[in-house]
Amino acid sequence: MTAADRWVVGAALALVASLYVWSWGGSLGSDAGGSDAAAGVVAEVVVAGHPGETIDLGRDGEVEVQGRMGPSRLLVQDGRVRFTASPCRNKQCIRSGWLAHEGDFAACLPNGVAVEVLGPERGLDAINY
Amino acid sequence: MQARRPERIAGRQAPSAAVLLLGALVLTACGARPTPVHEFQFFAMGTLVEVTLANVENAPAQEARRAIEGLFRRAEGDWDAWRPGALARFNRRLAGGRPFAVDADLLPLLQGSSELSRRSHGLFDPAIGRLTELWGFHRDESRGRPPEPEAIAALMRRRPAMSDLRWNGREVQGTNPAVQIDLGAYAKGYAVDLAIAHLRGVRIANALVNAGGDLRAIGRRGERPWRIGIRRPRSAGVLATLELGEDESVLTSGDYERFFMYDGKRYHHILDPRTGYPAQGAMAATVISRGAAEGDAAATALVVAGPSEWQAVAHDMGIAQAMLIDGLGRIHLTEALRPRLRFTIDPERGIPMDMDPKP
Repeated sequence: MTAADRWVVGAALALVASLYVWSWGGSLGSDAGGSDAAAGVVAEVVVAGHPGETIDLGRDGEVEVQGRMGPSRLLVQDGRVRFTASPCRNKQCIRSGWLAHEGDFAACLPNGVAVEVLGPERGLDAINY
Repeated sequence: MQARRPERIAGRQAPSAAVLLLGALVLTACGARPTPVHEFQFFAMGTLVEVTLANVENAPAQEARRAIEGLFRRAEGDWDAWRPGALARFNRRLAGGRPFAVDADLLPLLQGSSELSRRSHGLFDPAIGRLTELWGFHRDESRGRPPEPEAIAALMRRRPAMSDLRWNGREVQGTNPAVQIDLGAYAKGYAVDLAIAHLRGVRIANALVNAGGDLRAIGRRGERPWRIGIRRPRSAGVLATLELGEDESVLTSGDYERFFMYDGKRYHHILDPRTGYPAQGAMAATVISRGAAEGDAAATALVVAGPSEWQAVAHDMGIAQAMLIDGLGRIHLTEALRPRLRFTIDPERGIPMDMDPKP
């Protein structure tokens, strides 16, 4: 295992752990509910080097994911998600603003982090851009 | 929805085995056997690559996954002018001015892109690598300010163009040292085409390969056609959706993919080979074609062509289905594409223009 391998595995574990705590922490045994508008709407977060994870947009909170350059932060609020911080220079990911509808997509390509809203509405298989 | 993204559903509920089991029961209870769909993603060629395979068992799907990721990894090393690979070596030898034999792997990309450049009236021109470099668009992170006008003018006086490559069979000779080949507007589409060819070769007939929005689909997604959303320029949302035929590619080029703002003005990566500056007059062009490589080149050419010339260029490149969004946000469509798109906004009114992103 090279240093890079260890780093990627470490980043993957950190992502899973943060998603676990964020998704399930504090709501065990109670129905945390969340916004009705966002019921069933999830966003997929892809980080370079490991498979996509989905996050529930019905639960407000913050997620930090480790990309290639460093941490990117995502904020979930009122059934929407957006980048709030990323170590890139141009901040196009943050400028993309809120993602709320199926197919909405933003990425920090320098950092290797992408977020896409999935949903049952139109059943899109891919977004062309 | 359960049938749509089974792998993702499982991933989301992974914390509890009981939930997984329940999920499996619910899936079973849906009645009809759900289409086995495999999705995987990876970052390559500076973008996110997503592959979806339908009606494929697990073992061949995993094999295809390894093969396609390997293909994109080789492509990103070999076809990027700014990495130490085949294209960088090609550019060095081209600058030397002596005839040389081109690598067999690189040859079809260079010949294919030369032909498309000619048909595009020179508006798609991979020979302007030095210009791309001058503007800093060859890097993930742009330089944040335009180059000196004198530097652009000096380069433009040397008129680098694909027609400066003198071909003799598979031998080529550079006749203009200002030429540096940049396949950025072609190689991703070409890699998508290779991935689709590989899948066909291993008898996977229903697949979608999407490399940062450059996509090609074959077959169907189970009982229905593949459904695509076209992103609204300069926003995160969807402008229109369409269903694809048995083998079609959808390619968009836009001024929002790679750009920087300087002094309140947008400088984007689609450079006009005639002026040396970012193309004016169009913010995006979408093309539907058979192959992704030709669509990639055509979408770039149409943005450069702008509202006055785009239809003529599309015609000469053999593209019947195309959409152009001009600099004012107005939507122009070819008659062949119009009935296929379902817009999320009123296409007659165009897209709102208050959307230039603010930090």
